[in-house]
Amino acid sequence: MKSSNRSKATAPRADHRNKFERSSSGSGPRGRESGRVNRLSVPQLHFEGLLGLSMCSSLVLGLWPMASNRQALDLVASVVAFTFVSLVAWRIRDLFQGHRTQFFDWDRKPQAHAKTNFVAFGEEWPDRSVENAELRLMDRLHVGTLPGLGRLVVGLLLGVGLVALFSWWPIAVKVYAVLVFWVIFRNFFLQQSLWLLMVSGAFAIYFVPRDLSSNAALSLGVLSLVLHATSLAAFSHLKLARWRDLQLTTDLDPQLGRIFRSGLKFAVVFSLLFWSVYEVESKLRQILEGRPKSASAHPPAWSKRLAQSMAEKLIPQPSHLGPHQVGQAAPDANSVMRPSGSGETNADRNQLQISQISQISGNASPSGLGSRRDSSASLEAGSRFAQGRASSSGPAGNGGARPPMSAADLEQLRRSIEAIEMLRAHAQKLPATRSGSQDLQVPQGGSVAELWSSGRGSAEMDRELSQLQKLAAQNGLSPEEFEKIQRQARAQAQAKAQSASHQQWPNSSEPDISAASSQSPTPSRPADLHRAQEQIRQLEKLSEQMRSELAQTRTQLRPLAPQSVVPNQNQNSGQSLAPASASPGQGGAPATDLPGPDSKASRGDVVDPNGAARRAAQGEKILEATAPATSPPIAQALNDARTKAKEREKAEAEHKRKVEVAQKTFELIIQVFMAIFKIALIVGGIYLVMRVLRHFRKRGHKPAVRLIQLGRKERELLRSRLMGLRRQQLRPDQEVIETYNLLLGAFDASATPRSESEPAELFAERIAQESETFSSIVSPFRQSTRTFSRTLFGEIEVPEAELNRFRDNAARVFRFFEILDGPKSTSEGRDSQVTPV
Amino acid sequence: MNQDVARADTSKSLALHREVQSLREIWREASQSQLRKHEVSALHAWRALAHPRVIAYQAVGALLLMGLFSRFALAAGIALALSLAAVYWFHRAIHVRLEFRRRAISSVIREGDVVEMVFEVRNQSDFELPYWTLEDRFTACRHTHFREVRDPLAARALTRVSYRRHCDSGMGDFHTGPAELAFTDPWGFFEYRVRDDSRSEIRVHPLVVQVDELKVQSTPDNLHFGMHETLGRGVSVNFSGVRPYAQGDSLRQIAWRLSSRGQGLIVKEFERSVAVDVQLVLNFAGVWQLGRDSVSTWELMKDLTLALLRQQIEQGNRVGVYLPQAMHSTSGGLEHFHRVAEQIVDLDRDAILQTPHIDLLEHYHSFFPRRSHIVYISPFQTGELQRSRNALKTLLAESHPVSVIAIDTHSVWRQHMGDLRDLPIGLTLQFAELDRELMELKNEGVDVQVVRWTSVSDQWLRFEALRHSSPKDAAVHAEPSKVEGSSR
Repeated sequence: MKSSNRSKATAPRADHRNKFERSSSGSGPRGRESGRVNRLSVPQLHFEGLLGLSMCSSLVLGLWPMASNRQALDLVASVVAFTFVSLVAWRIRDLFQGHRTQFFDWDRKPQAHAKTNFVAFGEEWPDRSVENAELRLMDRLHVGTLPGLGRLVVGLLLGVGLVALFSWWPIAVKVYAVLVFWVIFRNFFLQQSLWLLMVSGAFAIYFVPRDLSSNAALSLGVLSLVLHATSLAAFSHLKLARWRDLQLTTDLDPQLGRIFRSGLKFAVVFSLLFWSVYEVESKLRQILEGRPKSASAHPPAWSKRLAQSMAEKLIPQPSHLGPHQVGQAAPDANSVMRPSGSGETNADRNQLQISQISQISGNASPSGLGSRRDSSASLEAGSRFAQGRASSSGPAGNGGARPPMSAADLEQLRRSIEAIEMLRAHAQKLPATRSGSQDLQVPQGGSVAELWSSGRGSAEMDRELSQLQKLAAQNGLSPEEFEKIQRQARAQAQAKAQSASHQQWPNSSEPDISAASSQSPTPSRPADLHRAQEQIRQLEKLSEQMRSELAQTRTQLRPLAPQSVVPNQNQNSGQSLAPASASPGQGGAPATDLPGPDSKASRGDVVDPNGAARRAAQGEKILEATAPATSPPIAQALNDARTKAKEREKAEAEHKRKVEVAQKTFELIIQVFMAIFKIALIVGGIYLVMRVLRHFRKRGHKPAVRLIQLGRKERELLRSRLMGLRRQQLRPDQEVIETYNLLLGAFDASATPRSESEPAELFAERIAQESETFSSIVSPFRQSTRTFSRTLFGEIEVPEAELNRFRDNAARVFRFFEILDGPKSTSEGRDSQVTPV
Repeated sequence: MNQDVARADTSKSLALHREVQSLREIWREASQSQLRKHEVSALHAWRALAHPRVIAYQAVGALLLMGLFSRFALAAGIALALSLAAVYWFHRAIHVRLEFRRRAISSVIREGDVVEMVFEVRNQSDFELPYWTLEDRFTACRHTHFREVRDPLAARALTRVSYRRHCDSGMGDFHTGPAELAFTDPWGFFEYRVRDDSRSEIRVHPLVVQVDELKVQSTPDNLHFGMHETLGRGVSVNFSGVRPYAQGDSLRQIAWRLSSRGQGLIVKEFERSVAVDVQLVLNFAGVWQLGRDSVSTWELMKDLTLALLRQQIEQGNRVGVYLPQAMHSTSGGLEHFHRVAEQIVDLDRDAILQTPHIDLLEHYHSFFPRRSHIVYISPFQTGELQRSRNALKTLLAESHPVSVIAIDTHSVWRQHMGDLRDLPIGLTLQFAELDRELMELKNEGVDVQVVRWTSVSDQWLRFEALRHSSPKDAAVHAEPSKVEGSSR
């Protein structure tokens, strides 16, 4: 009410003031409520959008390490969610409080910059108008217009609703999050969102995978950086437009493209510097750690991988090395995970085909295992085949004639059985987890838990025990004695496991984890999670121990050389077990599927291709062993398969050689490109530095100004007036006079006005004397002035040629001032087309 | 001539100060924020700390700290620090090659004139200047501050910024500047400033406004009265002629007998009395003043004084001017006017506010010529009236014609009421008794006029009659005509 009274009272004076105080490049009249406030919200929305994009990028970047660290995702997601909810709340509040714009009397701006303090009867009252304006601005941007209780309620409601989304948080974290959210909501302001932005970015950066080998992580990082820098640029833009001295001007348009380019520039600069710093730091680290120079001369891993990938993609594979049908018919984890083009896969395919043929030949593979353990299946098939042959030859193959087992062998066998039973006892303590639960899914432990929970673990152990029993039988141990040893070992293992459980968790209120897990199948507390991970680690250890014991046992308890009709069968079957037990990581697949260090091979990681070759060789030996015993069609098929396998192997070797050659070539090319890039970077950097440093020279000639740049609004005003002239049908003399007036307007806007009493000719001479700035338009402007003077004083009738020449000259001057588009020195013909009228 | 001045000014090299916003300034801005006095949250009061540079520095520190555990964070921290350094030096190169100068303005400015300020900005670097702002101060205007955001300026380019201001801040000495050109990098990390601290002093000469005619009276005892008479029409007793009635003529001058002949209203004209001694007593004591800049009681008094001075001198009267600081003895002529005007113009705000209250009527009592017309000009306030009432009565008793011109402080206060939130509302109550007090004074035989601040005060000052606040006052208000008639 007061403001309206005042504005009525001072309306004539205000109009008078506005009439004169508008700057020469000032904007047009502004409406109090419509124009100014609406335009204010444009950069505001712009900034919000960019802030949201930055948050999204942080979220995406934070999602990356989700598989390995769930807490990182929680933190990033909570920060992002806080910000988004706050932004939405802010917008909603702004929507419903639009009527409050009457309090933001933007036209009262002059009072905000009053020169002196107010005087009331000799007493000076400090000028609080700026402060009041700031409070009004804060009132607009701040949620503080809500009453205290309202703020509390709204903040708590939103906080609780948000926290409900994160149901897996512990209650303490939820309470803390609600309080934090309330504080943020209560004090929310644009600049606070910047803190959130930086916090989320810092989290995202910190939790990014340590090895930035992945292109996805790099691109996500760059994207996040671009958006963060863009958001900062938008903030700066917004601050420049609105907050500096509370001027609250909206003369500055949002300029979305320019802001984004700024962000991109910063990201490029930062990325280049980051890369340089990383490279230098790596070199320094190598020097400090005293590595040999040759090691540092090797190309980095990413270039090797890139070259290998390019070589594999570009070198065509032989047609017969296409995907095999077995893997497609029975897809399993290995065939899916392994890269299709690797040589190891081809070797495995050979092995699989051979083993399949051997299965066709009458040896049943264990149905429970399927084709997943291809090599072990073939080895096992070979072993069983040998055993079958031995058993078919008669009871002479049994261990009846063998000498009794020695004490050392017996001890070794007992230790193996004990290790198996120990593993079984600990695995039974493992809580029954859901398949795929991420809470227990650690890189090496997940397969143990899944294996055991799926019930296959027990079968595997039984199988190992049966194999041990057979081996022991071959070495002269009776099944009764074996059973006895097994029972003793089982009892001992269970006792140990029980005592270990109590010893490890002495304060646990739930000694039986399996019982606890039945109450809460998903351990949501960090303590439970930690406990489960510890158990899995222990299982890993036991598994490793069991495997070493088994290997030792198999090495020690070699089956005796058979004296049957197929002397090399047992030898082969023995060999088929020996490498698997002696070097389970390098040779064929392990005899067990329990996880271990060599489980990488089953996950698609890079494995030594020699192992695959050895497996292929073993398959052939199996073929050789089985060939004499098979029927003719099967033998023929085996021969064909053998021939094909040899061809395939040869082609594979050839392909491999080509790939290696191409890889080396690509590595060289990449190195050359990198060297060029580094040189260009260094040269460009030095050039830029020199160019920048040149500005700090205090001596020397300073370059002259080469451009007169009008203000954007002045330029647009002159351009619109020029276009208006084009639309009018003026007489030639009128056209000359009006166009020349526009020329003078351009000079006036370019800080070289013509005074009222100055004749045009003298003004043209003065312009000519300022050759520093107007050198390129001295001649056309002088000619235009001459034409104008003669026309103005009626000396000529402006013939067509003269008029065209005048148009050309005027167009050149207008181009110089960037009022007309196009190059500054153009041909005559083009000038005449652009010239007005 | 202006061009010569401009060229001379352009050729003169200016001392430009270049600086970059420091962290200390950011801290000062945050720690000395006026908002901290209010009941706002700490995050708001200290929000200046959420500066992009502060955030960037914190990010660098945090990354370097994380660098103890992660190579990535270490490299990122160093790279961010290097990026900031690159941004700083790149824009610093533009900063050192940025120049601007103000074109000289005419040194002769009259109150109410429109002045155009022109700046030439040169970017002599090889890089484009990002968005930049130009700020200036022109204190002769109520809207002192000028600021404009401009588009990026190309490398080695020149542009012009101009603005116009209305000299509405009253008369006196003012200045322009300091002017400052500022820009930031596109991310707001660093703020670069080029400042011209030089101040151009400007003297704004008074614009003498029109004022309603003050009816001065003289007595035969007046020393110079009747020595000269002019043909100028006035209110003396010498009949000059008749003419048709025009709007604004007093009804007492209507010749009713001639008007009854059916030719419309006819008024009588008299020769103007000259050489009347008029004493202008100006109460410029600071304690009675109210307002700000041109919308203030002291500016209104200055305008009124000059207007009356010129009016009386043009009428051939002799005027003496009495200020708390000085007095100008009774005299006439333009030279006297100029002398007094200079003295009035020199009375700036600070000098007025430091002037103690003196009972001027008593202080200068002995200097008043005998039975001269005393015109007492003062901002009206109850306390002031109580102090001066006895002196006015004394002057009346000594047969001095006395006029009191009261500056309506309430009208000035109303102009600022919307802007000032922190002033006590009780201030308004002090204006409630204005009309009643003045009416009592009028009843005692003093000619009382009221001058109010209106939107046209910068063109014409009106004497307004007192409002009739009650029937009793209305009855009393009828008396002055009798008083006037009897005195005549």
